[in-house]
This record gives sequence, structure tokens and C-alpha cells, in this order.
Amino acid sequence: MLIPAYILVAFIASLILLTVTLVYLYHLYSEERDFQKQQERVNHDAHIILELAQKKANGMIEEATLAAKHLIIDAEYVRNDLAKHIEQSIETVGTSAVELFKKDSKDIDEQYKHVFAQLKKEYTQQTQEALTSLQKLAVAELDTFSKNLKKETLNSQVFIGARINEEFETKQKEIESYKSQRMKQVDQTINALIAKVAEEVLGKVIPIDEHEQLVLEALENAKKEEVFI
Amino acid sequence: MNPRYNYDILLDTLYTKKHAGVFLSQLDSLLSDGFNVQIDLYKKIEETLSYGIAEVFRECATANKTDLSNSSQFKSFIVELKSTVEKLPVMTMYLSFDPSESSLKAISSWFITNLKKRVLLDIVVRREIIGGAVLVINGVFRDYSVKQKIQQLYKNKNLLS
Repeated sequence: MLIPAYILVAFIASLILLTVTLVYLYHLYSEERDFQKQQERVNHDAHIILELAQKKANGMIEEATLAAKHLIIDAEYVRNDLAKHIEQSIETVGTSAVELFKKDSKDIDEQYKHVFAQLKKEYTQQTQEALTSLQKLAVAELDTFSKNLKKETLNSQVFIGARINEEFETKQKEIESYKSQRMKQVDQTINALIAKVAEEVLGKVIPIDEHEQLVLEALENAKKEEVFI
Repeated sequence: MNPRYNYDILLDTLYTKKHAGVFLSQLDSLLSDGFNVQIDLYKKIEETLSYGIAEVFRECATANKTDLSNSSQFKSFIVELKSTVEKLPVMTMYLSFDPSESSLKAISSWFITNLKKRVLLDIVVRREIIGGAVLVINGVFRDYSVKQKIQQLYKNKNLLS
């Protein structure tokens, strides 16, 4: 059985392509391995450099610390000296002051007493004046308040009195009106009762001759009044 | 024109409008019979008028020289009498009591004595006026009653108080 040529060609081409691909991949692998090696070397170098730098820095720090210690010690010495100097100065000044004070204490005491007495006098005087002023002010205020209170009280009394009088007069008028009205009603009732009683009783108890006489008197009155003309 | 007859003694018996009315009716009756020549007029007078009035009637006729048996004189006497009575003024008077004959006479006499004139009384009884009289003259009331006096007293009392 014969293999067609094109298939064979294709197979061969595939083999060639595969071979080329493998070669290329190997090349890439080699480059990658070289790159890693170089990187490791660089890292190693950097590590060494860092260690050296650290060592150097540590040394510098130790030196600086030592220098600082020296400075502190020196400063302590200076401080002690200065403190002593200050103490001595204070003691000297104090001694001088005590002596000066002892020397002038008597005068100062007298002056102090004098000033104090003067101050006391002035203060007492001022206090007295202030108290007097306050007292006057209080008296004046109290007097004004008393006057105002009295005035307001009088005004209130007058106002209340006027209102009471007004109310009293009004009520009195109302009572008088009511009384008058009631009296009028009572009078009217009494009049009506009297008239009724008179009508019922009086007319009956009057004798005939008295009736005649009353009629004749009526005629006489009419004549006097010229009613018949 | 002067009246031919004087009826005073006859008119003295008439006190009220009521009396006068009855009397005028009697006169009318007599007058109607006066034309009847067959009737005894004296007898008719006795029958028509009451006893007392008939007697006064005859006295009055005698005083006026009138022969009542004469029909002409009879009629003339009655006609003029009737006219005189009808002309008498009437006064309405309210009284609190029912007046007796003597009371009416006393009241009527007062007018003759004091006013020189006769009036016929028109009596109206009103018990409520208590006493005295209320007069009606020319249509105007004049109250002279006891009731009015009492009211006046109370009015004055109230005015004073």
C-alpha cells in the first residue's frame, strides 16, 4: 500500500515543525535558568551589601552613644558645679539680707506700725464714711419707699372708698327703686282691698238717711262747682 | 206764651223719669178716652190714675178752673200737662242704694229749692260707688261718690308720702 505523497509531505513538515518548537522551548528554558542564576547572584550580593551597611551603621550608633554618654557626664559635672555656685550665691545673698533685715528691722517695724496705723485710720475713716453714706442712702431709700407706700395706700384707700361709695349708692338706688315699686304694689293691693271691702261692706252699713244726706251733699258740691249752669 | 195752667202741685208728685213715663202713658189713655162722650171722665181718672195722683190731678184742675167733665177743657188740660211733663229736663243719677219715695222726694225738692227748677231723675243703682252720687249732666259724668272720695284720699296720701 502506497502512502500518498502529500500525506508524507505533511508528516515530514509536522516533524520539522515539532522539532523547531522543541528547540525553541529548550532555548527559552535555558534563558530562564540563566536569569534565575543571575538573580540569585544579585540577591546574594545585595545581602552582603546590606550586612556590611548594617555593621557600619551599628558601629556609628555605638560611637554616637559613647559620645553622648561623654557629653552627659560632662553636663553633669557642669550642673553640679553650677548648683554649688548658685547655692553659695544664695547663701551669701541670704546672709546679707538677714543682716540687712536685722539691721533695719526696728525701723521697718516702726514704719510698718506707722503705715499700718495710718492705713487703719484711713480705712476706718473710709469705712465710717461709707457706712454713713450707706446709712443715709438707706434712710433716704426707706423714706422714699415709706412715702410711696403711704401715697399708694392712700390712693388705694381713695379708690376703694370711691368704688364702695359708688356701689353703695347704686345698691341704695336699686333698693329704693325696689322698695318704691313694692310699696306701690302694696298700696295698690291695699287700695284694691279697701275699695273691695268698702264696696262690699261700707255701702251696706250706711243708713238710708245717711245715703240721702250724702246725695244731697253731692248735689251741693255740684252746685258749688257750677255744674248745673 | 204763658202757660194757661199751673201744674206745680201735680208735677211735685213726679220725681223720676220712670214716674213721668208711666204718668204720660196714663195721660195718653185719658186723652184717648176724652173723645168718647159716653165715658164718665171723672170715673176714668179714678180708674186710670193711682189714688193719690188722681186726687192731686183733680185739685190741680180745680185750681186752674178747669171742668174735667167738659171734654174740651179736659183735653186741653191734659194736652198741655203732657207737653209740660215731656219738656221737663232729665238728669241721670247713679246711686249706691235703691231710693225710697221719700228719698226721691227729698232729692227732687233740692233742685226746686236750690236751682228753682224741676228735673226728672233717671236713677241707676250702682252699689260699688258706696255712697253719694255720680251725675250725668249734658253727657258729662261728675263723680261725687264716696268711692271717688276714698280714692282721692289715697291718692293724696300717696302723693304726700
